[in-house]
Formats: sequence, C-alpha cells, structure tokens
Amino acid sequence: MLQQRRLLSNVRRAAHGADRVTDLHDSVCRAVVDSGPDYAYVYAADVRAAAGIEDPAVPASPPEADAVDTVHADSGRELHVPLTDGDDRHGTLAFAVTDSVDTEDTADLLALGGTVALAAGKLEAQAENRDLDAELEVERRQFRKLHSVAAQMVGCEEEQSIYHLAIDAAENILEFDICGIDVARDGYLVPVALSTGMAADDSERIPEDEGVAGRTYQNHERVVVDDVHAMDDAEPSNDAYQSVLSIPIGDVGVFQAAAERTGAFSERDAELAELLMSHVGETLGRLRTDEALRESEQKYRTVIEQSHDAVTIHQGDGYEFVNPRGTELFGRDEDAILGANVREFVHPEDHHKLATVGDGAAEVGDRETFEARVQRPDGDVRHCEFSTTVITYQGEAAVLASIRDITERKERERELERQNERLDQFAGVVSHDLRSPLNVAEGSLDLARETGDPEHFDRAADALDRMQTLVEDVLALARQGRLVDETEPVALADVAAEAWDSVGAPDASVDYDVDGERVEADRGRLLELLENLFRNAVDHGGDTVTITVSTLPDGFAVEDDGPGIPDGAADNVFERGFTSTEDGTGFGLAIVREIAEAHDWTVAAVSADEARGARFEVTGASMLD
Amino acid sequence: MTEQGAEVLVVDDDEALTDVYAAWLDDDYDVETATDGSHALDTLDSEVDVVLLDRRMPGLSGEDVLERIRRAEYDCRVAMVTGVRPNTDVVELGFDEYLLKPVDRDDLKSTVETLLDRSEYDDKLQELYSLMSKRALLESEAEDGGVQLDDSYEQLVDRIEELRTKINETVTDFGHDDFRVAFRDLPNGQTGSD
Repeated sequence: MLQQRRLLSNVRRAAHGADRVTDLHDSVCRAVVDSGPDYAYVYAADVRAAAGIEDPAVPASPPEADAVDTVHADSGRELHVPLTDGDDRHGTLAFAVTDSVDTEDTADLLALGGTVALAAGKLEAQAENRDLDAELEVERRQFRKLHSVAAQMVGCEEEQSIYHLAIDAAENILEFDICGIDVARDGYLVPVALSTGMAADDSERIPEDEGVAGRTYQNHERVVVDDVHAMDDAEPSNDAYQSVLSIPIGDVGVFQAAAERTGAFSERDAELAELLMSHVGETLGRLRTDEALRESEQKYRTVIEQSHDAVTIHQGDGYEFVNPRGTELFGRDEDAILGANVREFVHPEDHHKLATVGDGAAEVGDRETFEARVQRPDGDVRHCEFSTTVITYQGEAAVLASIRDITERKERERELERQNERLDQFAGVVSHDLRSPLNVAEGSLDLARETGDPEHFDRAADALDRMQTLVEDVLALARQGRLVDETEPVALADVAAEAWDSVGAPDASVDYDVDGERVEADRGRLLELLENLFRNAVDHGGDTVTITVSTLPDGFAVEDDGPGIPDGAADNVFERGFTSTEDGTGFGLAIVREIAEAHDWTVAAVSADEARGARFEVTGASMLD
Repeated sequence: MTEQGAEVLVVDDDEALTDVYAAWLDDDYDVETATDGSHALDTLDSEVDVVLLDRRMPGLSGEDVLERIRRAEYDCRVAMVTGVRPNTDVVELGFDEYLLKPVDRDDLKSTVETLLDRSEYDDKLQELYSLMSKRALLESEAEDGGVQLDDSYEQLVDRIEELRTKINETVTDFGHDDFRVAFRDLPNGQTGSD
C-alpha cells in the first residue's frame, strides 16, 4: 500500500502545483506514472493529457461519479477514477494497474479525484478571470486610443480632417474593415470619408430619408443589422455585405460599417462606434460654432472698421475702443484716444450734452442722440451727431457711440439759411423798392388822365423805366448767390481795365496805381465787382469823376474824387436798396459785397481824406506779385 | 371837412413821388416837399399840420425825422407813407398813421383829412380843458367873494358849451383808431379808462 500512498501524495502535489488546467492534466498524468503505473491519462469526452502511453483508448462509458472502475483495455487493466467536485464532473483519470483495488483504497482514490477536480475548477475559474481581465485590458486600451483620437479631433480646423481621423480610428481601433461617413447636404447623405476597404461605387449619395442610413439619420438612433438579406428596407450598396452597423453623428450625418459575414457587430462594437461618433459630432458642432462665430466676428469687425461713422466705446470717462474712422474724426491716433477722457475731444460749450454719457447713471439699453462739436488738435471743429447706447462691455456698463460728421450738412443748412434770407431780402426789396415807382406810375397816370399834362406821362414812363432797371438788378443780385467757382491768379490791372471799358463813362477817367499784382479770384466775379464799384463812383462822383485803383497788402482799393459817402452812412452803403441818387437802385454795392464775401474777402467803405471822395477797400485776398 | 390853409409836408427820397403827392393835394392844402430828412426838418415849422413821411431814406431816415419832430414837440400829425411793411418795430414809433405804398389819391387825401380832424379835435379839447379850469377858478373865487361874475364869465360858459357840441360832432365821425390816437396826446391822468 506504500505504492498507493505515494501515488496519492504525488498526484495531490501535482494538482496543487499546476498553474493551468492543461498543466494540471499533464502533471497529474506524470505524477501517476512517476508513482509506479506504466501509464496514465485524463479524459472527458476526449483525451486531455497522457503520460507513458501514446494513444490511449477512451472507454465509451466513464465511471459513475462515486465509483472507481477497473477496466480491461487493449493495453491491460486500467483503473478509472472520476474527477468530480460535488456535482461538477471535470473528467476521468485512468492509469494502468496490475491488481484490483481494495474498498478502502477506492475511497482514497475518489477523494483524490475530488482534489484534482477542485484544482481544475479553481484553475478554470482563474483562467476565465484572466480572459475577462484581458478583455477589460483591450477595452481600456481602445478607450484610451479613442480618447487620444478625440483629443486630436479637437485640434482639427477642418471638418474633413475630423472625418478622416474618425475613419482611421474605426479601422485601427475598432477594427472595422469597411466603413464610411455620410454627411447630410441638401436633402442627401453624401459620402465624405471612406475606409480603405470600401469600394468607390459603394459610396454614392442617397436621399437622407432612405435605407438604413436614412433611418439612422432621421431617428437619431443606431441601427445594427445582423443579416442584410433578411431585411426589407435595407438596400445594401454591395451584395457581399451581410452585417451593417449604422450610427448617427449628431445632426450632421451617419457613420456606417459593414462586414461580409452575418452578426459581425456586437453590442460592444456598436457602443464603441457610438462613443467615437459622439466625439465626432461634438467636435464638428464646436468647429461649426467656432466658424460661425469667427464669421460673424469678421462680419462685425468689417462693419465697424469700414463704417463711415466713427464708432467708439467708452467706460467711465475713458475711451476703450475707437474705429479707424474715429481716429480720423478726432484727428488723433488710436493711442492718443484710448483711455482719454471723452470731454477732451468735445468743444467745451458742448460738454453739458455729455452728461448722461459720463455720469454712469444710465442703464443698459438707454439711447440718446445729440449734436456736439468735436475739436481736433489743429483747432478744426467738426459738427457731429452722436448716437449713443448704453451697453455691457467686458462685463461692465459702457457707452457705445456712433458719431457722424455732419459738418458739411451743417454748412449746407447754413448756406440754405443764407439763401432763404437772401430770398426773403429779395422779396422785401422787390416789395419795398418797387412800391415807390409803382406809386409814382399809378399816381402820374391818374393825374395825366385828369389833366392831360405830358409832364405826368413822362413821370409815369420814368417810373416804369426805374422799375425795369430794378427788376434787372434784383435778378443780377439773385445770381450772386452762387458760390465762387474756381479761382485763379488774375492780373488786377487787366481786369480793372476791362471793367472800366464796360462802364462806358467817356468823360471820367481811371488811374491805375497797380504794378503786375495778381489777385486769387474768380475772374468773372471780380470783373463784376469792379464794374459795380466804378459805376457807383460815376453815379455819385459825376461824369467827370476820376477814379484810382490801387493795391493793398491783402487786396485792393477803389477811390474816387466825388462827394464821398454821406456822414454816418459808411455802414449802410452795402445794404440792398440803399441809394442816394435819384436813378440808383441801391444794388450795386450790395452786389460788390456779395462777390467779396463769396471770395471770403471783406469790403469796407472808408471815409477817405476830407479832400477826397469815396474809398472802398477789399481786403482778405491773396495777392501774388 | 377840408380846412383851407392847412399845411402838409411831403417827405420822400423819390422826388417823382413827392411831385405826385403834391399834385394830388395841391388843390386843398398848402403842400411843401422835401427829398431827404434834413431838408424836411429845415422846412418844418409850427405852421405844418400834417407830415407824410417815407421811412427809408439815405441820410436821416424817416424814423430819425419822426423822432426829432416829436422831440421838438411840433404840434403836427405824422403819417408814415412807406414801402416797408410794418413790423413790431413800429411800436416804438410815434406816428399817427401808417400807409403802405402804393397809395392812391383817395387814401392819401382821406388820411390827411382824418389827421387834420384829429388835430382840430385835439385843439378843441385842449381849449375846452383850459376854459373849464378857468371857469372852475372863477367860480371858486366868486364863492369866496373875491370876484364878481360878469359878462366875460357868461361868454366863457357859452364858449364851453359850443366847444362841447363841436367835439361831440367830431367824435361821432371818429373811428376807433382816431380815439386811440386822439387820446394819446392828452395830458397824463386824463386818459384813464373810467
């Protein structure tokens, strides 16, 4: 029995020392043989391991779980020991024996079988755990890789790169050989990226509400098809495909994978693919939002920078932003404006209009429009219309101002006012100055009818003549309203001579105290001005008057030797309708003033020396030698 | 109610117009003309009853002339005859009438006539006031026994009655404007609305 005890301990040691089930079988068989028997083997449905024998014959019926059998095999007698742990039958251990076995030995052998079975069970359980760990490890690796892909995607600046990354990941990480991404465009799902295993003709666009892809896209849910040919609505682009996995990518499109065998996609495949595509969807969404933001930012930047109005933002009293037009308007560069006090650039008299802008009492959304003058460093003043809105800028209340330069408009308004005034004056002049001769004409006709005295007819005719002259002069004056067109250097002596010719006073004379001086002027208007001054001199100084034209440092003077200007009238002579001669209409000097002012010159009637007559000085002109 | 011998001064820088006005008024009044302000002031004397005055003239304007007439306290009526439409600035001007050119003969003549009426009314009113105060003085002296009321007192009373009647007749002819103007010249305290 020594031999059997040795076998028992050897086998027990072998069972405990094994790391794997297959090792266990081998060690057990070797332990048996090492203990004496010629050979040993382990079998369940087939032979699992053997020692000392090449090809043992497995009996059709293994022994009962609680029985040890002695079997006559081809090679001699064999003892068959069930490897049973409770209800768990692992297999049977068979080895060669010479004698039959005692009953008490049978119990030991059954216990030994239990030990081996327990060890096998433990090893199997361990092996299973090891597989699970391996699987988990694979999964962890896949997740890690998917995450790194996701991180890569975030750095993508183009949608196409994201699609390619996703397909690469599907091929390499998820091990999908045939896959692609379709993106919805204009009612179709259009292929944008394909795996290398996918044929080109598998990639035609399809209407976005058709097929498996369409269903996936419309319902935003995954579709797993285990057998395409068993489906009605699936129209596989390639008959070779049996299984299809279809995953929605947000609102963007669909990811699809196919395989040439049925049931190729497990739940786990689907989940990983979904994870990958959720990254794709999110990244795409962000990219599109970023793009939209960039675009709208660009748009607003363009609007602000190209704006014809100055646009500024200020907080408290300091400028935070100014657009290029603003720097132009303020006549300062950006550095000089940013941080500067709002009041610095506005005319002091208009500071009160900035009250709401600066006092911080305004509420977001408050709007205001007012006019104020902007002062440039060079002293230039621009009339501006400010439209302000209180906004939130960088988290704090600020005032957004749009500033329009209305200087030209103001000038036009003033010009219009001047013209209206002039019109008003014409109306006054016409009504006033025509009334007297009209009165004379009417009254004289009345008297003529009554008395038949030709004196009254003559007076009536004179009055009518005067009225005609007056009407012509009014028209001439009305035409003065237009601005000076273009100025040029005009030789004063020449233009004066020409003016004198047109006055037609053969007995009067002009002295020119003029060298080659030229005056910057509209020649035609200067000619008219001089004609009127000369005519005035002849009218007041008489037919034999002598006129002197002389130059001044910034203009010229016309003087006569007539009776001069009545006392205290020097200021009035330029008024329309002012005349001290019987047939004058009082328009000549008004015209002179109009022309001078249109040139930005000043004209003044100067009380000349007692001995001399009237003197008119035109100053403020640019003189050239 | 033409008053022969009344004197009218026509002032306008338009000589033709002064000629026309003069021709219109010659038959009824003594007419003087002047074509500028200073000449007008030279010509003006206490005999002149009515001045027809242009507003806009070179040298002294119509307004200047009017101001000097009032300052010198000439007892004459002044009508501005002008092409200038009246504005609020006329408030300050002491004229009696304002005519806008062109003026026809009838307008001009009736204006002169009205002004002479007012003048006359004014004269009579002044006389009435002075006679009434004389009467009051005499009556109070008589009460004190210092004076005997005689024929001259009776004449005074008769004259007062006569003036009252005449004034009433004139007043009947007056328009609203005439009242306004007539009372303007009354001494203070007698223009009240009582």
